[in-house]
Amino acid sequence: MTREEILNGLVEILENTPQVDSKKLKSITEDTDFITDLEAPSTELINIIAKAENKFDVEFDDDDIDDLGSSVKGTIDLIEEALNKA
Amino acid sequence: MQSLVGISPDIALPHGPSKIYLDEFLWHHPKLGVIASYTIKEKDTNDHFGIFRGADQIEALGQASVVAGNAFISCVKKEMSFPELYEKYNFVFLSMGQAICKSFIKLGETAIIHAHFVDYKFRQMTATGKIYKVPDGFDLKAYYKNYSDADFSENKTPSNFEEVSEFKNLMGRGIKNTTINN
Repeated sequence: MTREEILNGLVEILENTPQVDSKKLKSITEDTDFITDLEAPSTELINIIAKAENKFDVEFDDDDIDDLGSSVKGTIDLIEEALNKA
Repeated sequence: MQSLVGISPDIALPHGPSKIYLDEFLWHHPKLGVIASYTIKEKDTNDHFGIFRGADQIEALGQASVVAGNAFISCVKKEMSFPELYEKYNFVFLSMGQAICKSFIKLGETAIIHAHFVDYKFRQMTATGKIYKVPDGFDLKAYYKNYSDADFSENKTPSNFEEVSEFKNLMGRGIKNTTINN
């Protein structure tokens, strides 16, 4: 799966995340920050990652999330690494 | 470690003694919730007209659920004791929804905290709960000894327990201590 495909999958998740303004998703890139750019509540990041597990059929460990940060790039890195391990 | 019952709150919590608002865990299911008791102490009502503060009731619910209940799951996953876990992680309050206070608890009275685990993922837990006032002399250990999962799900309590407050969607998360200490 390419990083662009992962990004598109994340956009699908975010389109169904009520706290995220879907209009802002049109300009999303890997440099986008979930909190500062998309105004997602920080507490929602965990839910986004949990949905990514289901979406991409991968499993993350609690420790993977500790240093994740709130960037789209970081999340794509995490998903790509999990896909490569699978 | 099968459950929090039998573990002293001063072991299950990272807080120092003046900030612990639980005396005993009476019932616990790692996926469903936890019930704990606390008798209101003089330090809790100083400068507060002999009444246990609403903010401290929220703290009690949080300590039972998104701290102790949450940390328990990590202890089991990582095969660590609570002290070992708290050397690496702390469990912090993030947010909460609605708080409804219907009555009050005074110095010397005993509260029961019923905390339901609503959601858990990646060391982030959401809990909803109620606090009840217990009549003097009520044998809590005997009552909760055979309390079932179904009883808990129905929030079964004796008719002479008085509902004091309800707090919805209290959220907390376990984070690395390095995040706090940097």
